[in-house]
Amino acid sequence: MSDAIGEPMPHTSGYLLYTGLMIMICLVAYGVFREDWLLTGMALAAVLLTIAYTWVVRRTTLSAAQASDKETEKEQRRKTVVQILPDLADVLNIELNDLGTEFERVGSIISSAVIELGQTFQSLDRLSRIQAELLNENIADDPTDANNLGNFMKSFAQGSDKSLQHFIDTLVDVSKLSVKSAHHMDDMLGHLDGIFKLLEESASLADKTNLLALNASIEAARAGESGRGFAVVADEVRALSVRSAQFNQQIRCKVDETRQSVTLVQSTITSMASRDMNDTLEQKRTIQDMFSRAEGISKSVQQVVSEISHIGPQIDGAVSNAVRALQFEDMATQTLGAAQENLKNLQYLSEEMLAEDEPSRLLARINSLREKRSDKRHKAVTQTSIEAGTVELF
Amino acid sequence: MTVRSTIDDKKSTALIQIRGRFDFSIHKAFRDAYKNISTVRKVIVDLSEVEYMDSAALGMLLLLREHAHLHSASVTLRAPRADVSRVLEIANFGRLFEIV
Repeated sequence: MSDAIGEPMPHTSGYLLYTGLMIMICLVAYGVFREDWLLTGMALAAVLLTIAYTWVVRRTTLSAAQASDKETEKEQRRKTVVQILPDLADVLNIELNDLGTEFERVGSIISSAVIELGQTFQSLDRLSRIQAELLNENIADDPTDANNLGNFMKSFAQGSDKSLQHFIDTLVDVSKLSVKSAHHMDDMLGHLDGIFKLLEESASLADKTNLLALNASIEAARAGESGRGFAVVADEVRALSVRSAQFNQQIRCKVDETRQSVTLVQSTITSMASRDMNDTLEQKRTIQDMFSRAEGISKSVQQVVSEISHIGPQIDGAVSNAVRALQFEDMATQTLGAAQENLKNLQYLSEEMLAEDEPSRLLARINSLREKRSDKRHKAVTQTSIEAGTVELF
Repeated sequence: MTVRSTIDDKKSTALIQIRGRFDFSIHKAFRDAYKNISTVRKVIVDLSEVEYMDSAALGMLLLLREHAHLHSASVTLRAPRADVSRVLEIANFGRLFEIV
């Protein structure tokens, strides 16, 4: 019984199945009638199994038909796709060719930019070095060096201070000597006054001599003939006294002139001796102020110079970082190369699509290409970062 | 009188007081004030009433110093005002005189 049900032939043995089913039902009825429960059970199981089997077979047949419909539709679509493939390939080819040109342009732009950047950084580095050398040579921050700007300013200020002091000392010394000369002139004027007094005495002596001579001539005239010789002597004495008075007057004039000259010298000495020290004080203050400002300037220059000399190494570091960063060109070139390889594959594919009408052969070519790609992927470039060690300028 | 001189024989000290402008115009009076000092050991120049001082005054003080040294006496400048003090300072008189 179970063997007959196990045969899956639903299309041809439909009637046979129904006949068998009827027999089974009869067997169930017979079993109930005979009260043979084993037979009844088995027949009932066979009936149920057969019904289940029939239902399953029905379902399978139905879905198979649906699948077949879908397959047909798919086939239709595939055929349409294959038909538009050449057009697609044509458009793809044009786009891919343009892409290839763009890739090449990007590559050459990057290369020339990198070369230019490299040269720029190289000259930046060179200029920074020259600057550092110039700073070190000319305005070195060496406190023991006499040519050091700060030391020079200090010694210059000290020298100027010394010169100014020397000037002041000289000024005071000239004043001292002038006052001393003035004292001598005072003494000289005193001596001249003394001479005047002596001259006055001498003048009164001459006057007295004159008077005496006059008296002598009067006495001689009174004596008559015998006094004639005496009168001659008295006249001579008188004449001498007059000449003496004249001399006295001349000496007076000379001494007076001398006194006037001395007075002139006095006024010259006065202007030599008298210098307003406030002017000198003001000058000294101005010079000191100028030097303190110059010292301030030199200090700030020193500070700036030392800051600049510290910036030098920083520029060096920045330049080497920049140069290291320029290595992106390698990576970019590699990436571009890989992209160009991909592009070639795409171009090859589109050409194949144009050349091959038979879809199965096209599929074979596509598969072989896929295998080639997966091989390559294992060997792909793994570097993704430009962090690396120090790099020499190129 | 802008220059006044007093001699204290007991203390062997001469005091010269100056008032107003200390300049060339009083050179004679100033010399007269110390010309005859020969016995004292110390000369004090009181500058407290001096309003102005020129280079001639500095020269006069130096001459006084020379004269005093000839007679083994010292010279002290007393109580200069701020302006006068600056003039003494710029002439470096601190190293030549005792200034109190």
